[in-house]
Amino acid sequence: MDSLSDISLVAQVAVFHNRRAFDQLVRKYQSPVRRFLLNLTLGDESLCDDLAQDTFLKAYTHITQFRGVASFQTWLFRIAYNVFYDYKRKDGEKYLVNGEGSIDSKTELASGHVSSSTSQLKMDISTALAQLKEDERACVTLQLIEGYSIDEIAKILKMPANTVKSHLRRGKEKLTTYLKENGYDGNR
Amino acid sequence: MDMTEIDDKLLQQFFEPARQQQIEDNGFTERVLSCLPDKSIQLSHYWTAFCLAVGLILFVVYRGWEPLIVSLVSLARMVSQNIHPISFFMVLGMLGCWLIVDLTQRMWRLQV
Repeated sequence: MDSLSDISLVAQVAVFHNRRAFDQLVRKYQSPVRRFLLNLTLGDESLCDDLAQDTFLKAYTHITQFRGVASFQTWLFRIAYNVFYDYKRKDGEKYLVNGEGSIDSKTELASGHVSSSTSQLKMDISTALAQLKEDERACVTLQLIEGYSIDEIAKILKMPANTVKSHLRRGKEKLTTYLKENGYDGNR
Repeated sequence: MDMTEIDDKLLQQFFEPARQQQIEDNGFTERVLSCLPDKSIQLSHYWTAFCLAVGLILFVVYRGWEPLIVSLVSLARMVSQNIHPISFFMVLGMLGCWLIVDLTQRMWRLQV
């Protein structure tokens, strides 16, 4: 039913350029798309919002290319990953300085000076994800946070399923080691 | 004990709050909608480009430059024969003055 209503909204956007229909689609999917990009950008909220905005603008201008084979959310995630990938390619150095290079992961998790709050949780997740390479991070985020299957991840990232499995295995190994080294036992 | 099972359980627990996380809209949708390209403007651009292309093709196909050159030459002949030199130079002088005033104003605006 949900996918049917999505297809109906997409059709209204594609045929009549109905902005109200697109408004409904953005409201419905802004949270998962922004959450995905937030994890890819290691918690950089302003960058994540810019990339999410680009994602929806691209979705609007290329809406006729949506065939309905995968779900609308999967299609959006594919665009979001492409937008992120393009950004990283263009501003690679800046991204490394502001993103991955700026997080001192060991101290963040080990020090408990910030009280248990959402921001601390975000920081924990971002610092943990910063241990991974980009492809590993994308695979881990899509499976462990967004709940996608390996085949769906392969479609979103345009990678063979075996490559996704390798990235997932390596990513999970790194994360487990990292969490155990930093005293995370699952009861926090 | 199976290592993979333990790893998965630990990771599932660690990412559980992230799975539940809902990001508030906070005006995001409005910002996206305000940036959407206007289809009517796009259509008008396409229409202008189409008309321009058709005009250029017709101009080349029907050798549009030939009547244009003939008209310009005859206009130049007519002007040189019928217009009195004094009135011609008066108009030229007025245009020159207007040009100087306009240039001065532009330069003054740039300095400001």
